[in-house]
Amino acid sequence: MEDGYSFPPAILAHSPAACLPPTAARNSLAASAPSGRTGSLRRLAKLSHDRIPSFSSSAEQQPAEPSPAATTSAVAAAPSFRPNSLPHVSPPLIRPLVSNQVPNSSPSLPARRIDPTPRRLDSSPRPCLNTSLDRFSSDIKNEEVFRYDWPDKRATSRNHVGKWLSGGKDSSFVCGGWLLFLPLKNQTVTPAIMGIDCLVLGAGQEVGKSCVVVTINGKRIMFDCGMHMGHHDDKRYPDFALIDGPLDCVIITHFHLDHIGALPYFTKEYSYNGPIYMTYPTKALAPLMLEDFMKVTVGRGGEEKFTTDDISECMKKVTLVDLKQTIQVDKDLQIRAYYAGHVLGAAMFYAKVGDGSMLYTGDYNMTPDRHLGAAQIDRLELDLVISESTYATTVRDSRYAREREFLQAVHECVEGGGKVLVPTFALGRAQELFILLDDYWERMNLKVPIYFSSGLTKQANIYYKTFMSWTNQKIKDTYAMHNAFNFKHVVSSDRSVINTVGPCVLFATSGMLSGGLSLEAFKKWAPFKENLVTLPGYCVAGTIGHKLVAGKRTSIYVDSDSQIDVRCNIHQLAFSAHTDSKGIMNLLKFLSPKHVMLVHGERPGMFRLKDKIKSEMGIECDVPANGETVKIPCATLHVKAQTSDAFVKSCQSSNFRLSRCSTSSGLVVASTDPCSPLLVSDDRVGEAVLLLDQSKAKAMHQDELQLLMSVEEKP
Amino acid sequence: MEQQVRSVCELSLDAEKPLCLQFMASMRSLIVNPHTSNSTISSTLEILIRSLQHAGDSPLRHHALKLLDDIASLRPSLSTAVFDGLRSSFYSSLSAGSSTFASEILATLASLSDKHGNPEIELDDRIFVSLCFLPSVTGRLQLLTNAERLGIGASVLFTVFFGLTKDPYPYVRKAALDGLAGLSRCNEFEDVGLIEGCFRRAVELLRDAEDCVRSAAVRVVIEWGTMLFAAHKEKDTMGNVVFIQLCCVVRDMSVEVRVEAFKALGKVTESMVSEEILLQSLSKITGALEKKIAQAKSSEGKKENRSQAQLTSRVLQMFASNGAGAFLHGLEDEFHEVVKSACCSLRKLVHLSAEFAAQASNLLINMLNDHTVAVRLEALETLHYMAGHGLVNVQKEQMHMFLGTLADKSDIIRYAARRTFRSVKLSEVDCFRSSVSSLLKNLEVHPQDEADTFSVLFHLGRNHGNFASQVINDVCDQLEPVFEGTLSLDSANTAAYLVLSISAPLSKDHRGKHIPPHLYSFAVTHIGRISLGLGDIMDQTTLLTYLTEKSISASSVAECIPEEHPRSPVVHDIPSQDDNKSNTTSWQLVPCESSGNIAATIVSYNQNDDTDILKYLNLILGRVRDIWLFGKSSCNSEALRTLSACKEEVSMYRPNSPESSGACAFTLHYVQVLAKGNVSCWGTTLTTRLSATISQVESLLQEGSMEPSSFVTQVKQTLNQAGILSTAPLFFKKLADTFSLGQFTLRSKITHVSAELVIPGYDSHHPLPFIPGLPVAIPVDITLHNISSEGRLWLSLTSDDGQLTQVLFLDPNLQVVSVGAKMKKKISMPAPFYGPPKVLNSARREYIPRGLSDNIAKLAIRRARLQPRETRNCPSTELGRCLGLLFKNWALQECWYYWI
Repeated sequence: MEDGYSFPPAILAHSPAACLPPTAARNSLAASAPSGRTGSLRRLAKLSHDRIPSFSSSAEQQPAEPSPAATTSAVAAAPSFRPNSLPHVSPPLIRPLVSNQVPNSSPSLPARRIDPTPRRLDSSPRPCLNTSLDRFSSDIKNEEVFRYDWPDKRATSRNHVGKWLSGGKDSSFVCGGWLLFLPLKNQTVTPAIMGIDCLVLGAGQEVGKSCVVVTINGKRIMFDCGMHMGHHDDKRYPDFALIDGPLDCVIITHFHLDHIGALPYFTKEYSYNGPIYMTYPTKALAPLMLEDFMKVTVGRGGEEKFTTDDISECMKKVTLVDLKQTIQVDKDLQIRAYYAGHVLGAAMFYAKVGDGSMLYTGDYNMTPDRHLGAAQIDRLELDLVISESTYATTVRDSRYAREREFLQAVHECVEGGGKVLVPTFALGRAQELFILLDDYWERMNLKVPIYFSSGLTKQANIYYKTFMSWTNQKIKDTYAMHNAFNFKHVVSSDRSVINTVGPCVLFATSGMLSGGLSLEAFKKWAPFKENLVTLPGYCVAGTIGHKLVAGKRTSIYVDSDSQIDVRCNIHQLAFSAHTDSKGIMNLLKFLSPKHVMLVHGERPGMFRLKDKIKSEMGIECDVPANGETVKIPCATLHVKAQTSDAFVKSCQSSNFRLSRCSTSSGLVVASTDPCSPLLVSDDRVGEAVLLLDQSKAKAMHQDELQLLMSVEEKP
Repeated sequence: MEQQVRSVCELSLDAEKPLCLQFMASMRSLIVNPHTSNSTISSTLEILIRSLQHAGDSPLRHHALKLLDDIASLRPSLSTAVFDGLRSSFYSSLSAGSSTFASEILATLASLSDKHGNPEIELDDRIFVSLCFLPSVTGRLQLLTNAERLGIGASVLFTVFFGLTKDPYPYVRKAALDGLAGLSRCNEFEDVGLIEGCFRRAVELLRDAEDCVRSAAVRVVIEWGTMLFAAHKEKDTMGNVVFIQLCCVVRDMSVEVRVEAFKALGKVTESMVSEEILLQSLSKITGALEKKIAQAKSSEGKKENRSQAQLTSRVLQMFASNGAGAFLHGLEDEFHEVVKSACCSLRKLVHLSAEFAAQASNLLINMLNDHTVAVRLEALETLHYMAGHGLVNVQKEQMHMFLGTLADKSDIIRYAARRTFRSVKLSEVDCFRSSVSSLLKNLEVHPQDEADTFSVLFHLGRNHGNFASQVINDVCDQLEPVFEGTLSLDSANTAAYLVLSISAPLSKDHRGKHIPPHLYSFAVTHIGRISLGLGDIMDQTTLLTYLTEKSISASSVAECIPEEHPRSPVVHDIPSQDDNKSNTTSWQLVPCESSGNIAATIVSYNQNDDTDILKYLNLILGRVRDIWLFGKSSCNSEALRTLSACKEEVSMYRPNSPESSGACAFTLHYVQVLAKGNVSCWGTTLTTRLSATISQVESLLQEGSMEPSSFVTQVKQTLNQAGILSTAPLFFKKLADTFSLGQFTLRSKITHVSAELVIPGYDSHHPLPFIPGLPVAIPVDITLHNISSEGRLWLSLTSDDGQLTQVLFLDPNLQVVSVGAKMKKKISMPAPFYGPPKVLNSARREYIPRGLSDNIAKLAIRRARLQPRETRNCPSTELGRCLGLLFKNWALQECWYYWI
């Protein structure tokens, strides 16, 4: 059984007519199993080790321990691009080869083992590359782009680096293999490796004024430009002065003020004239939000730093982005938007410059709600993910249960002749609750009126009706019969509604009972026990909403000299458009980036989440404060290399090998069974060698290299 | 035209030119034309096969292959020739080194073999493996897809599939995984290491970049995971690991993968997953699990606690952060396909744990609030399924949501909700009350749902007899008809409550008893609408009988029957096992065994099962015996009433099969005889009757070579002495007292042998005209039931004065008019009656119509009977007890035979 599933790859692959019977094949491989292919690799490693006694001076300083894991362990490959020539095949993903020599018996999660943790650029020395390619130029035939992961410290011994993979113009070959630096001349080369620098201007260890300036391989992007609603002074805006160079573009994820509030100010004050990218609904709804905010501030006697003209000027610079549309900002910088849920038009943004790629999530939701879907993204190769972490430690259970409680409370109240006050924000949650109640009213055949009072809400409803493609699948499915935003029972109303007789439901701003119609209605309705007030899950300290949430109060000072008795029922809404901690973990696990940065959250929670990410996924995670810069290395480089015929040929056919592993790889559970699990590996991964130089590279079969080495040795 | 094209093709081949597209098009026109002669097609076939072998690397080979496939599909007779031709081309292309084309031919061969049942392609393992290792990706894919049809050994297939899961091309990986999933069914793998390796590889591929690979990997994970669970030493751990791995995939970004993951979760069997893990898949809150993880971590080091720490902390940790709340995600998914798949697998998993079922039903009830009809419907369907298996117990706080569906705007949802309500269990009387009032409210808004609502109320009442009687007693006053000058026509509510009161006594728990009997008489006035609603439970006649019986007997019978004996038959609801396929419910009537009175004669439904009928009749026979004893204790009228009720009950059966009809007829007759005996057993002609009966019994016993029972002997002796003793009646009374009716049990099939004789147009008022001295032709219609052709029949005719009796042999074979099903024969014939009386009785003259000649007289037949002469053919059982009974009718003579 031990050798029952092995084939001599060479024979089977290259000479079909002379193929061996399976038994013969088994026997033949059984003899060569550990010493055959792996043996040749060992020889190769040894050869190159011995062959090049003096490596570059900087390399000498590195810990040059012979690393058995690195010399014999496998290399993994991942797709670099999708070939156009063969649409029915997509690029390969060769998962890590779990070889029997891997001394990795410590239990760890698959995610960790699949992608070796990259090291910070500033903490590990850069590997040096020497050239040796000149004499191979004669047999250069083909040119391919190879991708390889930047070595970690241990793998950066003198003559090899762990991992590379490739695609190709003709993607009939795809493989991973050894990356070999052959320093034939005593040259020290430092490749121009760029990294990702993240300057956090806002939402660092706090919620509000989201703003991160990211520099990827020289390109500078500002993600979001929000204001802090809790401050009324200069702290309200991000400190744009910290930006140390011109921006290539600004990307806005969604229309909430803490993500877009500072944009008119920024474009005006800093004379930003570059492109601003956002989605269609964001562009439609953002001016509404900004103007409403401006009105409120001016109404309160505050001084606003931008005007309506500034808003419209700023909006003129906006370039619209559709979902999954790749936009080439300039010849190096690519961006792409992905659906994020959260609010209408919210998007996550992927940005790629050369070898560096990252994702900025903005606010997102991993579970669908009444009107929006769950975030949706492709499996991308990412160096960095900047994720929000509003609910870094919260886990939310069933949404249906929360809805049931809300509807039950409202239904019971109106059935008993009471009035329901739903203080809410004009956009987002209001529409979700409208759908919820309108649908319920329709189903239950209820006749009690549902009012909303804000003009902003009215305008927003029109946009919601228009942007159906941004809603969730259920709404899209039923759209042909009924537009869910065509509310049948929800009607707009003015202030007089407070004094009407009989049961009703009223949606009014502000959301936390800090003013507006909601506060007026509250004063009027709170003293009656048949009425109900539903409060949003989170209320800022100091608001009436906060007082009500804080505890059971019988009387409340609504202002300094008036006090009201609160006899009505209070129901707390537990709806949120942000993903919970499980959602964050799910997204990160799905993407498996090389690095994570958390923003937009409460400090303690963020640190707990950071620890969790590190321990469960083995991914480096940062939680920078405002004004801090985090430097992250680009863990992947792309190399254009010539390929030899033997290499191409060896890559084209399967060359798998089955083996038993004596020690558990720790994938599932440690096996104590002497009959250890069967493993499969593909030797194509191990047979290729990529010779690298500062400017040129060459991919070849290891046999060719051996041949080359022996030629070298003879003189 | 045909010839032209053919010759052109042949010419082109003769010249050994490669085929060109134009010729191919012509060939295709020949092939698809149904009028093309077979010879042309055969030669085309030949040309194509040759072209395959000579075409070299021409890209047109592919077209030729397609044409061959067309020939095989359009001319099935040629499929074998195509198959053979292709097989030879396969080997020639193999030797020519054209591996891609060889795999293409193989794919065509495989599809031919599927379509036309051609023999399997027995490909050599070596060739297969070498082809798999060639560079052509398309070829590899085709080989893998068709691998199972190529007759390759399982171990070779496994090696190739397993190895090619490493292929860089996603569709090859997918095909390899599909192959592995297929291999799991062949049960040839016992090596734990091999199974575990395959499982692990599939788990790795759950994180593949391609959706199709991930969904194929899910299938392999469940199939090989199940195998691993069966084979592995640490069963508990492995089962949980499989479950957890699948739970971690349900949040995949691809809808296809999510659907597949839930499908796979539905395949998890009982012993595979522990209850706490199962429960955790319904909730994201992992408090309990975290404790368990801490426990497992602490006991990891200790060897003695290994069994307790079977689930390693790592696996649990993975589950806690990834898999917990898997079903929650599925049910809340925005894609209907995923919700449906999650519901389907929930239906399977609810059987694994009661606690899981309870929590799942909570979740599903919350789902009833979704704004899409499809999701609500799916949730209701699942709840209906669970309720059918007694797994839904609705709590008070959930009632609001649950009842909401009853008032839903969509009639599909309302219907589905009512369907669920039929079998749901309610924990409190308040829930019951609110359900009833919701149903009534719904009735007001949607009067079109009335019939179905009544049916639901009936089922609700039956499921909660106690609650139903409580509710009825509360509203009893409102149900009284008000006749104060106005007659309320809007009585849907009243009718609904009456339905509830009808259902309560039939409750499964026998607890709905205290229903005021007068309500049943009210119900009679609503019989039309109520029976419409209960159409699937009982028909109108039955309902009426039931209502009448309940309203009359409730007072009188209640006195003599103790309360602890439920008197009414119970209607058992047997929900169909596979709810997806059939939504109908079959009903069966099972009488209460200790019932003293079969008053409530609910008609039987689906009495297809003869054994059930036999059981039922035996119960009646048993009851008849009890009544005999009851009758002896001088409560004669009561006993008679009960006997006649029994008689009615038996007569209401409408047996479907001849066997059960025989049994019914026998029981009916048995009961009738007993009833008669009870009334007139002390008549004056007792001695004569008894003697006749005894002699008949004796003859029957002789036929069956049986010994007479002691009672028969005793009766015989008493009869002999009766002439001598004047005190004979006293003896007989004594004798009757000593007689006890034994329990008569029907065990096997009974054939009811009977014949009916009718003289058409004849009765005592219309005698037959005849001319004295000449024979009279009497038309007779005879229907024979279960009388074989070998049996001989005699027709005996006796004239009115009793002086003339003539016997006529009937040959059933000669005179049969029609043979119906189930041994039923009809004979119509004129029976000659010779020698009519010379002088007619003067008293009869008046019957002769005026104007007729004096010598035309009328014949009145006093007795016409059919006499069987051959009874030896009757099979007799070990009991051998034959009971022959005869009874008379003026124009109809029945002849009874039973053999048991």
